[in-house]
Amino acid sequence: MINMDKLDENIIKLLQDDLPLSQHPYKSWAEVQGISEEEVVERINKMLKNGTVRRMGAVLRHQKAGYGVNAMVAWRVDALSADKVGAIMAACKEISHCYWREVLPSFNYPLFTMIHARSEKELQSIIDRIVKETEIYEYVVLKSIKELKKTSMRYY
Amino acid sequence: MSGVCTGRKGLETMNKLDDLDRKLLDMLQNDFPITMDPFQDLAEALDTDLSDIAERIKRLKENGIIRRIGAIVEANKMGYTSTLCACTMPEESIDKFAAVVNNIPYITHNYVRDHELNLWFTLTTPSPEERGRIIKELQDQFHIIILCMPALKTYKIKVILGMD
Repeated sequence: MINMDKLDENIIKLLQDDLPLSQHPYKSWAEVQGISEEEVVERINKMLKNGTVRRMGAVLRHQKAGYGVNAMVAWRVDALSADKVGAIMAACKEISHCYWREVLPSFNYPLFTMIHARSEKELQSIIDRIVKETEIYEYVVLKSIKELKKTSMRYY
Repeated sequence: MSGVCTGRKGLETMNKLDDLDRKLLDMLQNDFPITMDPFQDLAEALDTDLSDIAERIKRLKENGIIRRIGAIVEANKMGYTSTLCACTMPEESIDKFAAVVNNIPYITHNYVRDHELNLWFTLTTPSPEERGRIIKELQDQFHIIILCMPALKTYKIKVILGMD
């Protein structure tokens, strides 16, 4: 765990919400904290560098952004091939997440991907392409039928 | 946001966007300026002025394309542990489960999927003990078995929706 001081915590608290849409959006907040805007920017850069903040920017709603078909696809890959296949999956721009997971024998598809497509047809062609590139033929497509909850984690 | 995941509505909203909207969405995701005046800098990079950028972002938030602009925080670095969970839930209990989950801040994503394991959610907790406690409570309340599938390796995590 990264050593964070109170100011870093407060910056995370600020940035887990929506940044005010204004000129110098950190200015009034920085004044309340008794620091300069420069320091806020410096701290954000530091947290991007050490990985506490993975990315700064916009988070979109998939469906509204034209990506109507979002599927979790889990692949049966043996542990020895995981890194090689994982690297191929990671290079695919339509894949947002790729994890090797601990699974039970009842669901033996340990390599998980999230694929975002604009149509069913596009999803299938992405899957076909991955099958061809990885030569992994056993997979299960878990399409989302209903979104019951989708939020950002709040840490403070 | 909840509802059936159909793409059509999204495509209609997207079709109304002009080139500058699309470029702006790409930059907001990929190249958000880490500066004292990020929106002004975006305006300059896109050859327009701040009021135009502000108006466009406001509209993109109103029509739901942009959920928020801020930081995407890495749970592990915050000392949290995360796992994917799945279970088989009887159809008639899904609404009740959704309501319970809505009150658990540590569950951020919850989806019905077309599989025998029909309910999939993510659980991010400050400690493994807290994870165990929540899983046990849900199992007891709904008389289900929850499979936990924590990530052992991360090959990619980058949610960027291309506008091209």
